[in-house]
Amino acid sequence: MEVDKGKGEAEETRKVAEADRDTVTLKSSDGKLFEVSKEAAARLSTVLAGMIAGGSIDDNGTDLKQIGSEALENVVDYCNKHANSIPSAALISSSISFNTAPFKEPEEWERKFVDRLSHDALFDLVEAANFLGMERLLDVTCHKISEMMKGKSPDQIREVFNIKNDYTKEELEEIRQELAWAFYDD
Amino acid sequence: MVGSDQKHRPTLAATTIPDDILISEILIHLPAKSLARCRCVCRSWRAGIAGAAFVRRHRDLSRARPPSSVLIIHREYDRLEYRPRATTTTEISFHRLVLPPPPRGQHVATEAADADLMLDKAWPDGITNVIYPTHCDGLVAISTATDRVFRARRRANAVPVAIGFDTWRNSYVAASCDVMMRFDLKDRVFEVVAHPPTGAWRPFDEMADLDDGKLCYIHAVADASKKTMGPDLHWSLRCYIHLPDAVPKRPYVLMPLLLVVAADDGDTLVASAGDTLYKCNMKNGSTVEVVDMQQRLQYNFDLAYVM
Repeated sequence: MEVDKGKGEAEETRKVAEADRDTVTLKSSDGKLFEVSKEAAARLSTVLAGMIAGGSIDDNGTDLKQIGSEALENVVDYCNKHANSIPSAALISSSISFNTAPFKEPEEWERKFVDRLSHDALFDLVEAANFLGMERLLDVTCHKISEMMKGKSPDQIREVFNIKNDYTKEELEEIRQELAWAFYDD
Repeated sequence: MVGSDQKHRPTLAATTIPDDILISEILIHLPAKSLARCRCVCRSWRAGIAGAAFVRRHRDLSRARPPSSVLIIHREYDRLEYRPRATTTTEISFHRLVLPPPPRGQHVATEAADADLMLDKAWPDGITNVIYPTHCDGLVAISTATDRVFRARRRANAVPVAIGFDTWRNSYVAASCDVMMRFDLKDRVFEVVAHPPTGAWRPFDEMADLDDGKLCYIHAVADASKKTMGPDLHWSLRCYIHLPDAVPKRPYVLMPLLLVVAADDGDTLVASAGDTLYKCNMKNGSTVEVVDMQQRLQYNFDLAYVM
């Protein structure tokens, strides 16, 4: 039944795609279909650009089995927002801000885009961006995560990243002493 | 490269990021101090951080970071007659001064490069010569001696005298006179928060987000400067810096570098007093004269605001 429903939606999107070939249809691991601007997809994702150039885009929905629907929705949302963002605004802000760290500074809308995500959604988006070769989105999401890590204690970091402490008490004490300088203001 | 050892990848219920992305895309950009704490998180992180490829790339990225720089806004007024509030000019300009790398051990006012003009803006209505500039996230707010505020990117209704970003709460904090407000980016509301226990607000107080994610409030005490900070707006004293009394009776303006070179690791503040620029180390409270602007920059202006 799920397949039939997917086909029905795909039929519709195909009609749209025939009328206006500016979009491509992507299918998440759980079978949901999303449309994204072809131009933005090709510009922002090296993987999608390769698929579009190589003709391996499926009008019924190109299977992205590694990406769940929530993450794919965010990817598509990001691409569409990026397609609409006004380049002149970006130019103005970069000429005034000289805070050019190795990370290309996220634009304000990109900051807002990642700020509203839950931890899980953010982490899923990192994986999706990595899988699709979306350098800019990977930068923006990783920038957010590295900001989350600054100033946090190892315990807090473990909590955020859901990591198990696999050190013994003695080992931990030894490392902490080695690195006492990094903890002086805690 | 790194992260080839995936066996230790933690597998708890919620989502995790694969170690290879975490290490090569996220940890690689952290300053040394945060990175050191990450070594305590788990074995695979420690192994990844210690890997030769990681160490080399982290070092290269740190070097590639642009050198520290400060923003200079100079205003012209008669220094002897200290009542320039009424006088206005119709132009304002912003210069960037790239600071020389941290001196190796000795006290040298290194050769300073010229300050480049970043923005020159005409303001037909006139801007008073006395201004209180602040900055946050590349945004410069100038509150003038009149009731008008100019921002380089946006206009504001309030009169911020200090703004900073609290990364822990994801909110901007603005202080003005006796009120300190927090603007939460999620709920998009203002809320009044506790003022740090520094006594009365002074016109030269500053706020800034430091490299370690904490918000810092810099309070200028009569002849020395003190700095308090706290992550969740539980303020605690971070350090107390005594500045040389180079220009008696002239208030110091203290502010953190917008960009801090890796070697400094977020522990540096820049102070300006008169025409001299100092670099202060928060860890040990020491100060180093960086540049004498009067000598090095050949400005014809009497006063420069440095941020």
